[in-house]
Amino acid sequence: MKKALSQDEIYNNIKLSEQLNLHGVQIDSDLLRELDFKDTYLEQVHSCFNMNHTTYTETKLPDRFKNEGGFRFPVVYDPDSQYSITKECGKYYLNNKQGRLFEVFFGRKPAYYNKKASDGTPMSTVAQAAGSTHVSIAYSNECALNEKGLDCLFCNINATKRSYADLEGIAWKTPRQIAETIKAAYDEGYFSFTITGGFIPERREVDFYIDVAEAVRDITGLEDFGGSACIGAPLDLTVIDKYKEAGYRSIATNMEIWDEHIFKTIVPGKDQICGGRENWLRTLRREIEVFGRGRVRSTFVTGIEPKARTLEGFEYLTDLGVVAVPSYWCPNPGSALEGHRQPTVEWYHDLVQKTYILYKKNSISHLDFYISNNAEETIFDYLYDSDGDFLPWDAEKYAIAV
Amino acid sequence: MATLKEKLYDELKLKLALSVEGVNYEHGIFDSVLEEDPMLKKFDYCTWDKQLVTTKQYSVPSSIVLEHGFDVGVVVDRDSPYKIEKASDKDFVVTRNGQLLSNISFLPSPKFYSKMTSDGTPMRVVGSSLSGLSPDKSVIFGYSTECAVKDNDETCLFCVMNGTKGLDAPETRPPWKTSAQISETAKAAYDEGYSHLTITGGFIPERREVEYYLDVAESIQLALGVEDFNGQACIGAPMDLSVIDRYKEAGFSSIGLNTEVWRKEYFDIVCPGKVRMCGGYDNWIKALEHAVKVFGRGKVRSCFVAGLQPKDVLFEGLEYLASIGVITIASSWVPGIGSPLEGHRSPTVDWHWDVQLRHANLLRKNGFTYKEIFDATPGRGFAHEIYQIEDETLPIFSAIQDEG
Repeated sequence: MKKALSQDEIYNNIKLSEQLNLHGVQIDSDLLRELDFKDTYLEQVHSCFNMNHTTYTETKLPDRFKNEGGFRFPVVYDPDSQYSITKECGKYYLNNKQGRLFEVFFGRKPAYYNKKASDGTPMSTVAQAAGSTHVSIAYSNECALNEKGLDCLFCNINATKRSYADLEGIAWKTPRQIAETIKAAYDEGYFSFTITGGFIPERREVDFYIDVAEAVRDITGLEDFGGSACIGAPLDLTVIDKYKEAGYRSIATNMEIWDEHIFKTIVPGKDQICGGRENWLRTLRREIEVFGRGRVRSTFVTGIEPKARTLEGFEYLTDLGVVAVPSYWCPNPGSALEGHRQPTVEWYHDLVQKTYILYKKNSISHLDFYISNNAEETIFDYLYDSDGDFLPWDAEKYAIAV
Repeated sequence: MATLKEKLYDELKLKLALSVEGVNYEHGIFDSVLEEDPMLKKFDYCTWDKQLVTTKQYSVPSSIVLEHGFDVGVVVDRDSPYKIEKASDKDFVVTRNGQLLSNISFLPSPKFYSKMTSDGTPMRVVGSSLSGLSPDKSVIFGYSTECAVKDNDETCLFCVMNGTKGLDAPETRPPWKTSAQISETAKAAYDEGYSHLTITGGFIPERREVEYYLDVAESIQLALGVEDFNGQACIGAPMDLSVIDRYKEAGFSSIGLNTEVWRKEYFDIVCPGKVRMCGGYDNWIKALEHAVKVFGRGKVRSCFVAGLQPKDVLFEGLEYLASIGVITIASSWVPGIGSPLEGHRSPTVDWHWDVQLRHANLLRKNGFTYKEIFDATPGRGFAHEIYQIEDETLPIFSAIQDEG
């Protein structure tokens, strides 16, 4: 039985979640060494980005935690944060400067994390659990834009590779590794995935994604395999149809930035090798034609451009039926903007509220959001729940409690 | 034991931290200070107050002075770990999370703050001292309280000038200062030891600034009875670059053209009004290059808002301009309320500190002297302080020698 959180509880938790995104949390190294990452707790795997405020390699780090009410919070490690997690009498607590806030429950490790693909690759390095139903796969842990000096300014994928690839055994994935890992995850209850990653040389992503789809179908035996493909805008828009034909049920093309001048400056690679901002818009419009409303996502790194510009983009895109998702800009280590800081909690809070209103106005349902997004238990999921718009597999649980 | 230089650098970094992180305080703690010195400057632009805590009350002095003499403009932020507290009836301190960092005092008001111009305008609202406790004194005149780019919704993204959100200034300021008000105030300031002035302000509709600046220069020359009044005109790049020559002819000894951000793509984003009204980025850079030809090396300045672009791009600009003879300013971005970037946050203190140290070093490497920096900038910045720490020319060095 599960009880939907009230709007007040949700907004209080959202604010704290935003604080933890902005300020991070410190955890003593001795405590981290004690945590059982082998069998019990879900660790951070840096398959794509290091989203902490520093490059910490002394021990593993927990990926997330929940409070007693089941609200999920991120672990953004920052040794200088005003927030901390401590251990007392065998329990873990979140604290701020004033004292203890609540007991925390670290995320649990799925069983497939300790399995290996047939070639011996640890499945934990292939797909990371986004929650209890969705896994995320970064097929490549580098981005070819780097060679051209065209990295997105907020991105640290290449720096993350330098810091963590050898340490954690992260490498490019083969379609077979991916399919076997998805099978293992699905066998324990997961049922959807997103495949994403940095740009690969010569933009061969479509062939790779089709190979992955075929392998997943072969190994899971599922025609509708719950896959979402995250791609860069193709120069030839007919490519979009191929993803649909391959069996993906949703597609994502992340614009990151709305304003045309800021787009060119912050994501120069996406501008220069993907046909410019106008081609990203053409792509999203074509994706809606092929996949349908609520089956196309575009994530934005919010907090770099003025909020009014981001919301202008969200209005346009959600009206088309695109699930425009605001992600928190984390000026993370190794990115060109390292040392910068994201806006205040109040800034983000306002953006989240206005975005959610746009979802409702444009009939983007909770299920649309889930199918398009590469995450679970986000603040938007909690907002949908509080409005009674439950995901089908959750509805029964809530129905008992409501 | 820390040397004096080390202590000064620590305190200078604290000055930076207080600007970037803001400072908290309990309402009313400044009442006695403000009563004691009614001429003490309070917030000039209340829009720097991130949390509107001084709305309509303005019970906060505009700056404080740290133990070793560095003055800091007060940016109020209720969430800041820094706090101004009362240590006793008369003594104030600044703390971080309860830990004492520095005793503080308040800047004595210059004498001209108590005087009036001939039309009855308080001189304190006409000109502002930007010298802190330094004996090298400069005064700045903002001739207008608005910027014409507002009309086309083209305010620079970092700027609070057009976005007071209905808040009043702490004191009524004339929306437009006359040349007489400025020259009379300049005379009063120079009579008490000020030796440099800057005229600046928002864009005037139809770009009639040159005529205005020439009137002001003439009026100041008459009031002071000198041709060379060590004045700087801060302007937008003119479409016709020969206009720059007229400022020189009028008697200004230096000129300022604030680029704000480097590279065209950033300029287009951050300064849409300057793009439209000033011939775009390329013309802005050409204007700086032309200004160096007219005024000479070290007689042209350009201010950058540090924190709006990656550091390597910022330094690309600082290095180029310094190499051609422009004295640059790396002003730390404080995202004030009412600006299009309200709610954003400036980079970390460490990021800004690195900028200030590298920037001062860059100016030195390019051969600029302390005197040139003083003459080419409107008020004391980090470059002034770092130069004087390194050269051991801050008054505190001689004071200690005297004690010794």
